[in-house]
Amino acid sequence: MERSKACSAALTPEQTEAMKVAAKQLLIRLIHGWALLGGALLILIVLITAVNAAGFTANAIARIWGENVSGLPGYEDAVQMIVGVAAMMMFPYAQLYRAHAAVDVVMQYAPLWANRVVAILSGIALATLLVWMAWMLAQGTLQVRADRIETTVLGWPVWIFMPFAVISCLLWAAAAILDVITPVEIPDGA
Amino acid sequence: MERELIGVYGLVALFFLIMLRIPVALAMLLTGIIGTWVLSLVSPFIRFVPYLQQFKTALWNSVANYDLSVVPLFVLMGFLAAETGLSRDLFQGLSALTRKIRGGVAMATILACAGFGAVSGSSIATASTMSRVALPELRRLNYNEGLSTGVLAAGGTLGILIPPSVALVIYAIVVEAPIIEMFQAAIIPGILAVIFFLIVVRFRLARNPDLAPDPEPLSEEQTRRAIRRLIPVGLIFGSIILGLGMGLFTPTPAAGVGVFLILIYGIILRFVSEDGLTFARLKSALLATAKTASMIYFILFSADILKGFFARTGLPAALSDWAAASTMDPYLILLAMLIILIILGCFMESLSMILVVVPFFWPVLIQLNGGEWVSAEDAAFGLTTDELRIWFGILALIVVELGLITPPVGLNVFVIKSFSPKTGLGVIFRGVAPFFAIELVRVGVLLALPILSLYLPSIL
Repeated sequence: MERSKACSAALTPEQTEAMKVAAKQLLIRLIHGWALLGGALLILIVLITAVNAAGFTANAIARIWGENVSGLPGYEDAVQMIVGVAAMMMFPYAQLYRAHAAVDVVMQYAPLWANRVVAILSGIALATLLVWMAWMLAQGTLQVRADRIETTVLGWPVWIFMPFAVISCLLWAAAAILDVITPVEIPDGA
Repeated sequence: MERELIGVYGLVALFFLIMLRIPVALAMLLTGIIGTWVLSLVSPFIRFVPYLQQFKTALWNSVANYDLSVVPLFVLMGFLAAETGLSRDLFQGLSALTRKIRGGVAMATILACAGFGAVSGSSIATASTMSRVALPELRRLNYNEGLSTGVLAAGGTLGILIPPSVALVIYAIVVEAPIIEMFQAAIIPGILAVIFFLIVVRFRLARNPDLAPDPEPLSEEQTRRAIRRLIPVGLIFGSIILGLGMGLFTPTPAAGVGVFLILIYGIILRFVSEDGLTFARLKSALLATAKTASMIYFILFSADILKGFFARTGLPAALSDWAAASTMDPYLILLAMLIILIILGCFMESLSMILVVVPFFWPVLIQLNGGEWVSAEDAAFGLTTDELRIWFGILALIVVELGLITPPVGLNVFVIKSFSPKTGLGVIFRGVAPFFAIELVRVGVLLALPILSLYLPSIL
C-alpha cells in the first residue's frame, strides 16, 4: 500500500497519462490479436472442410471401382468445437468497434449528452453481465470437466475448449469498459 | 393472465430499450433475464436462481453449434470475395456483356448484386461491396444519380434471399425447417426479383432515356478480357449454388469449400497479377468477419434467452390459442403479419426481427392453417405445415428485406449514402421507390402462387 502510494506520488500527470495510453494500446492490440487468432481458427475449419470434401469426392470416384475412401472421421465434432472457440474470440473485437446492431431512429435526434449517458449505462450493464457470465462459464467449465462430457465421435473433452470462452468474456467486458472510458476511434469504412 | 401481461410489458420494454439505441442483442438479453426475474416474483413455478444456472453453459452452447458454423464461414466468404476482387470481376464482366444496351451497366449492377449476394449472404455487405465497385463506374458513364443509387440499394436487398443466405439459415433454425430446402425454395423468388428489377430499369429508361448514357460497347478484346474474368467467378459461385441446390453439399461444407476456392483463387491471382490475396487483405477480411459474425452470434444467443422468457409468459401460446378460435380470414391475418414485418423492418435490423417476431407469428400460423398435422386438403392455406414453414419464410424474408430500402431507416440506403455523401437521401429514396413498388408486386405474386417457392424443394 505504502509502496503503491509512493509510486503514484512519483509519477507526473504526463507519465500517468502515457501509462493509460499504453495500457489502452496494449488492450486494443490484445483484442486485435485475439480476433485474428479466431480468424485463423476459421481458416483451419476451411482447411479441414476442404480435406473432408476431397475425401467425399475421392470416395464418389473410388466407388466406381468398388473401393471406399472415407472423409475425416469426427469432422462435425471438430468444427463444432473450433467454431465455438473462434466465435468467442471475435466478440471483444466487435465490441471494441461497436459492431453490434443498434437502432438509431430516435437517439439521432437526442442531445449528445443523452446519447453519451445511454452509451455509458449500456456499456456498464454489458460489462457487468459479461463479468458475471465469465464467472458462470468458469463454473460451467469445472462442471463439464467433472461430468466428463466429451464430443460424440472424437471423444474430445469439451471443457478444454471452454476457458477460451471465459477469457473472451473478460476481454469483451474490458472492451465495453474501454469504450465507456475512452471511446475507440473507428476508422472510415470500418 | 398475469403472466401474459408481463410478456406484453416485456415486449414494450424490449422496444423501448432498442429505441434508446442500446444494442439490440443487449436489449434482448436484459429483457429476457429481468423479465424472468419479474415472472419468478408472481409465479411460484418459475424459480430465478435455478434459471440462472443455465448461463454456466448457455453462451458456449450457442456458439459451439455445428449448424451455426455456417454463419461465420458464409460471412468470411463474402468478405474474401470482395478482398480478392471477385466482386469487381463479376461486375466488370457483366457490364462488358450488357454495355451494348441502354442502361446495360445499371442492369449489370443488379445481376452482379445477385451474384455477389449468393456468396455474401448479407444485404448490407452486398450493398456496400457493390457500391464500392459499381458506383464509380456508373458515375463515370453519367448515369442518373437516382437510378444508380436506387439500383444499388435495391440490388443489395437480393443478398438476404439469394441462397446461400445467413438470414435463411437463421429462419430455418428458428422454425426448425431444413436449411437446404429453404435455400432451394429461395431460388425462384430470387430469380423473380432479379427479373422484376431489370424490368424496372427498362421501364424507367423507356419513360426517360436521359437517365442513362448512350450504349458504349467495349472493343472485342476488352469484352473478351472481361468475360475471361467471369469464368473463375462463375465456377466458384456456380459450384456453391449448384452443390447446395442439388443437395450435394450441406451448408457448412459448402461454405467451407467456397472459402477454400476463393482463397486458392486469390493466392493464384497474386502470383500472376497485381491483384489477388495479400496478407493484409486476408487480415482485413478476417477482422471484418469478426465484427459481422459476432454481431450475429450475440443476437442469436440473446434471442434464445428472450425466447425462453416469452415462452414462460405463455404469450406465444395465448396468441396461437386466439388464432385457433379466431374466425378471421387466415389470409388477412397473414397479410397483417407481413405488414407488421415491413413496418418493423423500417426500424430494426433484419436478423433481430426474424428472431423476435417469427417465434410469435409461427405458432399462430400453424393454428390458422388448421394445426400441426393438418393435410394440405384440409388446411386453410392449402399447404402442409412443412410447406407453410417454407412459404412463410420466403415471404417473411422478402418483406424484411423491404425494410432495408424503406424510410426512415432503410439501412441499405444509408450504406449507399456513405459511399455517395453528396447525393441527398431524398434522391436515393426516390430512386429506390420503383423497386420498392415492384417488390410489393413480387410479394403479391408469391402470396398468390405458393408453388413458386415450393416447386424446387419438391423436385430436388
